[in-house]
Amino acid sequence: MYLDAGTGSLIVSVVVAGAAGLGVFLRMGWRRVVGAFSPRRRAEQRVGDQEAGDQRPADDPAVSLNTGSPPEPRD
Amino acid sequence: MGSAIPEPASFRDPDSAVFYADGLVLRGLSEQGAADWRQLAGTAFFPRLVDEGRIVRTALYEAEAPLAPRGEPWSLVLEHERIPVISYPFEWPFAMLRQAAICHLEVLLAALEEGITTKDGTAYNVQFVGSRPVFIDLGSFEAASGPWPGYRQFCQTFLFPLLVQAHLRIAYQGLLRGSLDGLQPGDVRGMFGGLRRFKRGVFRHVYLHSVAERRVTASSESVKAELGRAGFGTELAKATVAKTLKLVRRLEVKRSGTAWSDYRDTCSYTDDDAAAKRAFVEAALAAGPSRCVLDLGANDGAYSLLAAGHAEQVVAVDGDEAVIDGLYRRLRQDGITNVLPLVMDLADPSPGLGWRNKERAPFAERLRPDLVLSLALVHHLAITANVPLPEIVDWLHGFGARLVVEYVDRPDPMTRRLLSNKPAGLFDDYRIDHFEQLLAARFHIAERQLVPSGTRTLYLCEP
Repeated sequence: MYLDAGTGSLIVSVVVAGAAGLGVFLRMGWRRVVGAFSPRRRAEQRVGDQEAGDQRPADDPAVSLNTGSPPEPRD
Repeated sequence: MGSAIPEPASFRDPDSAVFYADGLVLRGLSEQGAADWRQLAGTAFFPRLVDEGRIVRTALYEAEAPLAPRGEPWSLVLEHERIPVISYPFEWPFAMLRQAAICHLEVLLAALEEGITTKDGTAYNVQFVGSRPVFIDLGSFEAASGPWPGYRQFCQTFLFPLLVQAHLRIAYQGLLRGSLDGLQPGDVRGMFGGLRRFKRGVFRHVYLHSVAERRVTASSESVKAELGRAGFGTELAKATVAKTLKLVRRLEVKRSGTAWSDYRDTCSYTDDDAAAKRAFVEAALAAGPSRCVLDLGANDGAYSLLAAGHAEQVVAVDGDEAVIDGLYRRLRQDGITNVLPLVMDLADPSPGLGWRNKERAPFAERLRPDLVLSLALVHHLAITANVPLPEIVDWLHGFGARLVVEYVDRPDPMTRRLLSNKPAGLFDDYRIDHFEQLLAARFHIAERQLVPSGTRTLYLCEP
């Protein structure tokens, strides 16, 4: 394939497929590829985690992949 | 074979490129492209959709072919049927863009049934032969695996424009002309604020799309691998396409009146004028067989429909999207297939766009009419758009065709109305003797007729 299909678009196209698509989306380990919460919630969660003495490493995918990112480059 | 001219829009896919040689439309394929073609040629859907006119007619080209741009020989060369007049999505009214979207999705759905997908999903994959949409990008077919890679392009160039016009009554033509990539999810999300995000199709295709685009950082390949492990199959890809097709079919635009939509009821013609004008145009049409008639300022297409009985192809151009949309629906309803309706402001026609401004050609380079109709148009260009009369006549002459042109004189109610909105004295050279002098300097005036009400004159001119 010579185009960048856009990773976010690929995931949405699966969700668009309806209930079966949603099932696949939930099974695929979506937390690792999609930022689950808004930036504020994530910040609050990090503060909460620190207060609770959570020693989550900085390179934990749940943190490092959820920090928001610039939009996909255009095709 | 003569020298090959590459199609300026066909350079992105290394496995397939269109070029022209000896008046033929050819497509060179790499080894991978040739393998994809053999798989396509072996399916049941491909010949069926070609026979139905939904995929461009294509055959193997056996003669010697030129080399690929990088100097190596193509593995295989195909010959495509020529599209009479190339048009672009930003020139299509709502019903046409929707019909093109339906054509694309139906072709894809039939392909997926046999394990083939399209590697892209752009509206530029579809062209119109008259009023019939046809899928032209044969190089796009490849073996299906994972989600539809063309979904994003489909959204940006088909679905988002349709959604903004259907739900928000925002004309998309200028937006599509502004970017060949189409509308970005984030920009469209901004248009659907508040409760508007819950309008049909918007939450999933626009809102979630925009969120996912910002939040998903993993690579396409890793996401595809994750999806495969989670049980993604072709059935789901089909469901994506089928649901999107259902949505597209249900989208409709709500119209209130536009400046031109009730033109026939409000224009300044008498019945005698209309009959005289029709007879004059019909005589010009009957004078010789026409390959291509260009109707400039076609409005509801009354004269385009008249021309359709005499010409192989008619191109009907008007700046009002609503009337061109109405014309397209009428053509579909009446089964008239040789009229191509296009939305375009003639004082600001489609320019060259894309890479080096050559990927998409300017309007005037895409057709070579043998008869041009310019009825009730000159006074709008001259007075409303302030285009000097010599410029207008030069422009009409530039088509290199026979010309039927109508001059609407100053006492006509329509001209008076247009002049009343402009400062006095600004258009003193808008006079019939001046216009005729300009015409005679560039054309041979073969016929001239004053219509019965005495304010409009028709000319038949030879280049």
